[in-house]
Amino acid sequence: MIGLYVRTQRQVRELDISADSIRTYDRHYLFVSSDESQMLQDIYEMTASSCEASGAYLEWCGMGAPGHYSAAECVDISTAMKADGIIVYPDGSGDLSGAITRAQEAGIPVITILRDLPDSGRVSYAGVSNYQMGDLYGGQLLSLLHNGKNEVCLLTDAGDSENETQLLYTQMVQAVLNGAPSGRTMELRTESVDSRTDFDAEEVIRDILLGRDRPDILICLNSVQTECAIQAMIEYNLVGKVQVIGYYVTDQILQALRQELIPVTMTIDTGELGDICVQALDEYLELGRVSSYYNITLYGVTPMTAGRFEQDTAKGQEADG
Amino acid sequence: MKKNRIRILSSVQTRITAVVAAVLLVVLAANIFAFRQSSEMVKQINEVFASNAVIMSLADKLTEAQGSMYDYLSTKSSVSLENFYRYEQELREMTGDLNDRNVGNELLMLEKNIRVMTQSYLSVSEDAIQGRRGRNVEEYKADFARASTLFDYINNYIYTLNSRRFSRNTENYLSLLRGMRVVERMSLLMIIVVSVAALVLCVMSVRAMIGPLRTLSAAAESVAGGDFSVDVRASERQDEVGVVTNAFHKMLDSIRTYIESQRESLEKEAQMKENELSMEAHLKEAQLKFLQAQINPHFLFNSLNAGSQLAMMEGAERTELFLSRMAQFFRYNVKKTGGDAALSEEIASVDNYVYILNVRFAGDIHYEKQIDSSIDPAGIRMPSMILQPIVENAIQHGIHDDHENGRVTLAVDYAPEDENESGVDCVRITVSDNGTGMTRRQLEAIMAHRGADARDPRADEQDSTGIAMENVISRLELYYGRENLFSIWSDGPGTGTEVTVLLPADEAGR
Repeated sequence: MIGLYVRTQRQVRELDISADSIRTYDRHYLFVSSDESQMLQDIYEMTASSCEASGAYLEWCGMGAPGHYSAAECVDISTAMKADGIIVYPDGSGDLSGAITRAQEAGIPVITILRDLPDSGRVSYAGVSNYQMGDLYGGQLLSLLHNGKNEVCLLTDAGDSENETQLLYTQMVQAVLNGAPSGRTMELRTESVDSRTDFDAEEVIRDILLGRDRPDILICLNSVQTECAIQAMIEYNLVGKVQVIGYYVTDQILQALRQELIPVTMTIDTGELGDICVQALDEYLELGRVSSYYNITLYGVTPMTAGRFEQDTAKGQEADG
Repeated sequence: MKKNRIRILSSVQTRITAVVAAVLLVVLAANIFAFRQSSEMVKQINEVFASNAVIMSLADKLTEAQGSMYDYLSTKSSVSLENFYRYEQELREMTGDLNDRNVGNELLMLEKNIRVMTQSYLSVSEDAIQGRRGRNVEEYKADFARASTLFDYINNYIYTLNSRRFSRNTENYLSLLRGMRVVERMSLLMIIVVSVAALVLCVMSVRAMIGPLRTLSAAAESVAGGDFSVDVRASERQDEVGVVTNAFHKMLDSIRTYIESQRESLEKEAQMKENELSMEAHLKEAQLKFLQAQINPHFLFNSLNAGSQLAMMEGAERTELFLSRMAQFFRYNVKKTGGDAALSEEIASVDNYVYILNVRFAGDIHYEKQIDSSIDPAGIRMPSMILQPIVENAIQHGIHDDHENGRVTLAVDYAPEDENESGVDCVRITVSDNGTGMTRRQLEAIMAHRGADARDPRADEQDSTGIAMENVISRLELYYGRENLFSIWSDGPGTGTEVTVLLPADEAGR
């Protein structure tokens, strides 16, 4: 009874939130992404962890707000909040470049991740090089091509810039042409999936897989597309008939790897990306300049390397925890 | 004064008052503590949703500022402008209370965001108003659009903060309600525990105070039942109980002392009574013996008186003297039927006895008296019928066979305490003869019969007055209440006998 009383008193005292009793931070960074997929959540958490170590507070702008804000609106809000720095995952929304420019004019550095907006006023970009990406995907395609003609479908996102997609496409074709053995050809086409619209990805992917022009190989460029493809393969008994090159590693994708439903998934190190973003912002605030491009490593996880990937991820989480 | 103060401070009334006051204070303190805890909880419950009211008030002010700005931009009304500036001031004051630091708490960061965005909004609004004043249409329209966008953002953030505050406050409210129940139970438990502890303290204190009184009560009951052996120890307490205990202790001691003295007095009285009765019995026995031996002495005494008068009428002087001495001798024996007599009376009786015997034995008995001149025989009291039997023994047995040479001496003198066996100053009467003497066995037989019913073997003889030495010894001891007043000594047959009687000087009336 006395223990319950003491605990209750402590709880009652804790009801009073005082800024004095909570850790304070030197800087306030905003994370802007209208995509709330697992990958972006992982990136946010890892970046927040890096911020914590650096003495900065990271807030996901618009998360939990009653309305749904575009990346451009979130950047404007961040500017009105007079944030110390903004990390943006571009979503292709109209005036994002303008919003970034306004932020930059207000003295707020902006870093874009995974998708670049070189024409905006962003101070730096952290992501995978499209050349490197095209080479890697091309290499994976070479290992999956069968004799004869291979239909390959590349799923793009409405948020991806046309230039970047074109660059990826070209580099991928070049890699296959350079490395494909004789008798194995590839016909590559792109299909656009608008991830900004809810539930569209699943519908489009199902249509692709059940259509007359069902591809032999399906290349996904985000985790949502990959999970939709895996689910469709299971539901419509397409395992072995369609090879899916996934993107990122979620629980469902990892399980598909273990069951060898997909041959490979391409992924990035979110911890590395978070560290680079925070370092870049800190560096800009300190020195007034920063490198305009930071390359993030892209690598493939296969059924054979899935176990080791899982172990490495667990160790990384323990180290962060 | 100081003692009285100590007694007042340690009195039972003061102690009981102190204990009751202490108990009341403890219970009062427990109640005050419980009341304060409950009040604090109620206060917190009342304030739990106050933050929501502040946030909603902020939203209202923001809406009114936005409306005023719109009115001014639409109509350029001075009232609207005045209202805008008033609302602006109020908004600045209200947001001034919001958090402005980067802290690791989502709600506080929302406050900071609202505060900074409101400042941005007011700045853009001010720009729009200035643009309107300067008739710069493009500028104030663009600023108004930006201000409206910010207004929406801020409202959304206020809504978010309000809903999260409400959610948090609801949790707090439920926690406080749970805490309130715990505090109520805890307070009740505490009051019960404190009350029980106070009651136990009260009972123990009262028991400590009343305990000695209970012991005293039991002792008093025992004393009332006649048991004075009960042990009541003196108390060191200064209160009323201590005073009563000590008084009872003293009273009990006094009663015991009184009872002991009464017992000793009664014993002494009983002893004296016993001695008196014994004395009387011995005297009666002596008289009885005498009367047995002397048949009707009154008749004989009267007859001797008649004979004496007859002899005087006939002129026979010697006969008249003889009969007169005979009459005096028997009259003394008859008159001293009890009590004591003067030493002079005893000596006179001996003189008469010796005269009578000398008439009988033609003056052959040689008797002499040696009385210390400093002694007044008439002033010395002693038991009667003591000396005559001793002298009779000396004549009858000591010098009976040789009256011509026999000699009996009666001596009276003082014997200081260190010269006699009684241990006190005495008048010593010695009757000695130079007759046949006595063997040691005979001497021991006479002394051994003392206190027994045995009689001197010489007392049964027909020619004796019949009073045994045992009777003489017993009456002396009973009269004076002490022993070693009679002794008889002889160096053996043919050496004579000496009997010594000691009369304690202080009781003989020296």
